[in-house]
Amino acid sequence: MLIMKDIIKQIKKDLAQVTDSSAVTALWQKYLGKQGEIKLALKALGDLDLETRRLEGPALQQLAKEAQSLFDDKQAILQADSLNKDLLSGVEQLDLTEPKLGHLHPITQTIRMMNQLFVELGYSVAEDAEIETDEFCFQRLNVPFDHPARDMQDTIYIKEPNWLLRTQTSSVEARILDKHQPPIKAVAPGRVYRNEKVNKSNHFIFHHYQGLVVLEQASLKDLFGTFSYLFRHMYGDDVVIRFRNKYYPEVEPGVGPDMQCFNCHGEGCALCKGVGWIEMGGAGMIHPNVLGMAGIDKQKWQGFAFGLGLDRWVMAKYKITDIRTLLGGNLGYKRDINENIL
Amino acid sequence: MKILYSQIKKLVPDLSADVYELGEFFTMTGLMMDGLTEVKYDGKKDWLLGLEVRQNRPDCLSLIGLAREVSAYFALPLVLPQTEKLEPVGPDLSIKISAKEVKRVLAVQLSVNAGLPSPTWLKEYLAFYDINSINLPVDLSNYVMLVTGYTSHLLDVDKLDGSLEWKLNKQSNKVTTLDNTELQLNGQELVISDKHKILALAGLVGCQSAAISQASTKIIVEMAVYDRFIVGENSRRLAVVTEAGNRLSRDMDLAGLDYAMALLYGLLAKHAGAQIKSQIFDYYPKPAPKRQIDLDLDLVGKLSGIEVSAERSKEILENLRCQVQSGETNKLVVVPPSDRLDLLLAEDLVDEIIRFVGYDTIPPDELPKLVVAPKITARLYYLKDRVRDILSARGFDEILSQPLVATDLNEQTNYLDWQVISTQNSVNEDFPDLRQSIATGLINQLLEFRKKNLEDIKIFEIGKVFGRQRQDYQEHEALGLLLLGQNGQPALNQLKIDLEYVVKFLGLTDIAYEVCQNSPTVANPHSCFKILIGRESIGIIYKLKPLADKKEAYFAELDLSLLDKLLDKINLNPAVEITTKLIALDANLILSSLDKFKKALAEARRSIGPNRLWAMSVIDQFALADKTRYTVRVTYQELSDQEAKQLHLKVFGLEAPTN
Repeated sequence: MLIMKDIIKQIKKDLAQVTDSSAVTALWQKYLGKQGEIKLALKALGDLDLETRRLEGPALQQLAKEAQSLFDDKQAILQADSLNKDLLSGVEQLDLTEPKLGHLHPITQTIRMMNQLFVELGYSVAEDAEIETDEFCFQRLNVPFDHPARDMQDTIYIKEPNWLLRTQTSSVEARILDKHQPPIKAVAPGRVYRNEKVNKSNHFIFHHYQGLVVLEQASLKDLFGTFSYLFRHMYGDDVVIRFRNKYYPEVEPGVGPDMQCFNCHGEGCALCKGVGWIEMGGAGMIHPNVLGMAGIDKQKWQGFAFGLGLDRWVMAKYKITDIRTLLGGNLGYKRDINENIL
Repeated sequence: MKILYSQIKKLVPDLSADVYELGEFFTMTGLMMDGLTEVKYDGKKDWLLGLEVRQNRPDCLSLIGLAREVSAYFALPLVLPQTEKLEPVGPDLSIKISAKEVKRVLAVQLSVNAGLPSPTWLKEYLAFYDINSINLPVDLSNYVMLVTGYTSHLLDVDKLDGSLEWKLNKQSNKVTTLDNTELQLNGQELVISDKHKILALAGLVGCQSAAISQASTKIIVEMAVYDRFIVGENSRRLAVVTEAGNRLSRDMDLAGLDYAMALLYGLLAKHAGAQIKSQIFDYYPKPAPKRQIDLDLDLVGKLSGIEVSAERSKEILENLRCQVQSGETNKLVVVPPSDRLDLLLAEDLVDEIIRFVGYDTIPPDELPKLVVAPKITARLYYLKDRVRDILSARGFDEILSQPLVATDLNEQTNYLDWQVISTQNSVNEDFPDLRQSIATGLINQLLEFRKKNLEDIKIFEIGKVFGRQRQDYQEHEALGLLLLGQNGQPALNQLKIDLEYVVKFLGLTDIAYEVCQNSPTVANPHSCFKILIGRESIGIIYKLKPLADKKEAYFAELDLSLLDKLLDKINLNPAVEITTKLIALDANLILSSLDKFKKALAEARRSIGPNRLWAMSVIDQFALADKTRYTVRVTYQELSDQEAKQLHLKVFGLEAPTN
């Protein structure tokens, strides 16, 4: 047994020398394998008398267990070393470069804000042609061919007198009324064209936001309520608005919604031309002639419509001083600043 | 329309509202005050109000029209300026009306002392409207126009040759107007002429040929109303903008001429010693019929959303000089005054009632009850929004550009088989054409960014492009992507991956490319490819010809409207239940052209069939001497290893490996 007692020391010494798993296995074979020294000693116990077996057997068993434990520990250490080596070889550092984030155009963002609100209120979002006919841009909106109201909108024609570039998104309203039966709740953002010289504050291409509701019951009160909700959504709860009577051929009664000038708070300044209010678009109850031309029973259905000019609000919000910036040229985006999440 | 506060007070003497209250009233009831200036008139402090008069209210292009509004709203009496009755003396006037566009003409010959000076108050008054003093009769004529809204022409009888005639000009003539402008007529204009010459462009401006001067002693005064359309047309075509044209290109009350003429005569008699020297000529073939409107007062509440009593409604209409008769319960029969030509329907009367009740009495904060309406949003709208999100996440900035573009760049970027659509009358001559490719705006933006020294340029735009095929005007939504190469590194494939992200994210696979045979001029023809889904061409991708600063830029365009249509044809549900392991096998195809490879892939896809194919992708391509080796990885589903191998060998014509 003395020899066997020394063997643990020897195993420890041997194991200290080895650095890989296969060498550990070879040593294990030497000591604990079928022909290993410890295994053979355990087998030899059977040839001893009962008393000797009783005296030395448990000690030898304990020694074999201790030896096995040494080998297990060594293998565990080597595996851990190996894994660590693998991890070290695959080490990756964080790169300090950042992904470039793209941005949406302010007009798009504004349209999204408005759409979000109106979709929540159950509206659909409609789009239609920019090349329009005289019929859908004017006649269907109660602006007959010889009506002086057309003087308001210097039209860009592509083939006079019938084909033109839409002067207003009311043309989408006319298309919706033509294609769909009430009840109708829709908004229509889009690009419009007017025959104007381009300068810092006027462009011949700009953006409108049209709204249209045709229900069995709809009134100016509903229109005002919708507008108030929209204005608060866009400008915050402190916004001050007013509604005044204003003529548009496609509505009766007509409405001019104004917002108190955000620059002077109603005192009067250059931005609001001294009147303290900024015109935000046009609106009103849909003219019975418009419903009639669309084949909608005007006794049963009524509705309201509105059209807002998007560009000026966007300019104010983003502090853009030249309307031309919105359609190319000088509009850029700062890299590190994200957009508002709606 | 400008108006002096003192003049309103003169016609509505009991008015107690100050100028600010008056401005507020006008603004809230449809005539927005867009200017207010303190002035001095007739030696006293006064206020000049600027009002926006909309197209429906030509009656408010006059002092009397505006005073009527004030009188009605404040329920105060209106005192009209005194007139002088026209007592005909002498012969008939020789006048012929040959144009159906003439609705009424009132004319009379007067003796007059035109040499007397215009009084100061008159000259001052006209100056507020930027009207220069000419001579006393003309100044009074202009004054009456501002007071009543009706314009008049004064013709010097001594310069006339024979009868007056209202007719459509049938000749090409040159005329010189009263302000010494020479105009070329082309035979469409409504004119007043004598035997030999044109005396006036009816409804617009008089001509020098019959202009009165301080020496004139005999004049013919004519007032008329015409078909508004011909006046507006002549004004636009000849680019003649006058106070007269502004009024007569709108609907005017035919009956109002009598008062205006009597007022003018009275003033001429008082200030210029005028006396009547003829019979009154009155061409009035078709007096306007009386309008009678049935009004159900329920409509007031229905349109406004508030309660307005029948008594209040009736009171407002009567204050507005409507004749109102009560009919059945809650129903009125209303006859509007003849000068309110805008009142045609019951809704027009409701507008009158509500604007006077006040929009501020309608609660502004009540959201309408939620009524569900069918959803009509087109898929293309969502599709475009999704594309914007995908591209911004991939680092692209959105731009918007103008669809009207310069001819050169439009021609150089067009890649589709369609003709350009040009505008006929745009005042912006540099941008006459509707863009045929979305590249125009992106390229312009690229050049602008380069000027400003921006380096990291990845931009996109979604917008309409336009073209004509035969007689059809066409437009579709296009997506354009443009990026600037960095450090001379090729980036065409980077752009390809970006656009494939878009296409695949929208649900379309089977993207293919073929060499573009007719590349647009801006493209490098050797790096220009058509983009296909199946056999359908959905766009183009190319490298631009080098920029002036030698930088390389890349562009791709997709027809989003077409992509939207293609989505109708495919199954957009990629979710499946995986019940067996997937088996991925590779195959090398050595082929001489991209076309042949595409055909081979399509054939392989067909042979495997959708139920057994999980995915197929090109994982490598390697150029050989005269061919290309493409390595394709096919992932099979619902097959055992053995079945997948057998199918793979069969589909790609490979021999089974021998051990």
